[in-house]
Amino acid sequence: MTVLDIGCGPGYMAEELHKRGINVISIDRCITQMTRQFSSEVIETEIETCNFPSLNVAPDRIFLLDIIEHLNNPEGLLLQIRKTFANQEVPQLIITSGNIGFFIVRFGLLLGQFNYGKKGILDKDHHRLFTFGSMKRLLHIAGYTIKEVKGIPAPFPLAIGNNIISRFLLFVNCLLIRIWPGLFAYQMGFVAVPKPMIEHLLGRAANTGEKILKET
Amino acid sequence: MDERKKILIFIVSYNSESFIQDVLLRIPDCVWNNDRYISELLIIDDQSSDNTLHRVKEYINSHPDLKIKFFYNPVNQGYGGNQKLGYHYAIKYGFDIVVLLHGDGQYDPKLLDEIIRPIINGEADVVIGSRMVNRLDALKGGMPIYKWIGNQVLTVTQNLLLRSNLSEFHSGYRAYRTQSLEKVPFEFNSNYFDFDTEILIQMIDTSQRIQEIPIPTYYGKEICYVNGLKYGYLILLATLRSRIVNLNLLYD
Repeated sequence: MTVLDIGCGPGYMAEELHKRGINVISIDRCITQMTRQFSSEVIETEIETCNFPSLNVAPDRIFLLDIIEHLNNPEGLLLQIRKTFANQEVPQLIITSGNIGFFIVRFGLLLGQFNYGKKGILDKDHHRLFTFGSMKRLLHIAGYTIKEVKGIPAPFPLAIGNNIISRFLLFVNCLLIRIWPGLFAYQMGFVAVPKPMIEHLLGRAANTGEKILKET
Repeated sequence: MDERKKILIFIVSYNSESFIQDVLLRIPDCVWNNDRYISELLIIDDQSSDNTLHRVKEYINSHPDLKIKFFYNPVNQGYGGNQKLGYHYAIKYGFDIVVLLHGDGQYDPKLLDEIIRPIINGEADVVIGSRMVNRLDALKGGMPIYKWIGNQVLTVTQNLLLRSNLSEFHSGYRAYRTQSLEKVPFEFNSNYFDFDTEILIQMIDTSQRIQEIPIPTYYGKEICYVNGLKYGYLILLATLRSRIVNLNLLYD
């Protein structure tokens, strides 16, 4: 299996995938030593201006993990990915992003508090923010079929250490996500498949029509 | 060099075996032989499960002199999805005008020349064949009363929201200037029946000139695949969404 990891970051994902025997092609504007070590191929480029057709790769999975919120034009990137890969053996897109509808953010807004910080949903490097609804709309408009949607809990063990309290909070968060993911999920995970482009569908319809007419 | 305009008559077809040949036969001679334009016919069948293909083949074989293309979607694309293919074809192959016609005979092909004319004359960018110019005629033509009421309610609401003055938004008999189609991102529209409304909103928002011509209403034995409630809901949603986006209250 080959994974195209767009916006690969420090290389943790490349390391994990490499351990499992998965081929990783990593793309980011700055490639770390760790990423180089664990990737079969690295491409150092600006993601939003990357010329995907020229990469000549055929991935089974495309990862966009916590990256689209950093982009100015995620719609453009999703369209580029669809244009490049939708007509091949269709790869699955796995996309994660922070949920701006998380109850802490909503509560803060209610109290008139909204600001960016060093980490988290409102990381100061985030350009675009999404809810479950707007992410679904984004994928729908860009021409993807959504296969799976998941709410991801807040990283309590990372914030307050891996202890009984953080594990309890994690458990409660998971329960609440089942009830109302839009309010209680800290992050969102989507699995989506790009639909073929119109040009491709038209070509296929023309060929099929021609075959039908030739049949006696 | 031929100065005549290039017209694409685009027929969307789905399970229309009982009607398609009649539709094709009713295309008037003046559409095929005209001093002002040359016509090509494109039929895109959306994975019909009946004998539509055979009926189309019979017609094509018996009219070898006519310029007809037949495409078939091996996977159903939906009413809107099918239209995207036809309009893309019209743009790709440099047609000046594309006319949408239904394979189920709901709209009269004899009016093709009339629907094309305002665009040829440079008076309009979009022409809609409206059943509601004379509202009560639609009922006389067999439109079920619930559809007539639904059509009226939706049209009044849409006109208010869009500040337009159309007699109906829901006719599928339309002609578009291809250059106007190029100006709107129709490929991102719905694949369902609300495509017709979405593209009309796009045309209104880009200030394309829209004209209506009266057409008779015909409800016969054709099977209606539209779920009325879902259609109404999607139409209102698309219209409201477009206004909220226009007010910069929502990004889309």
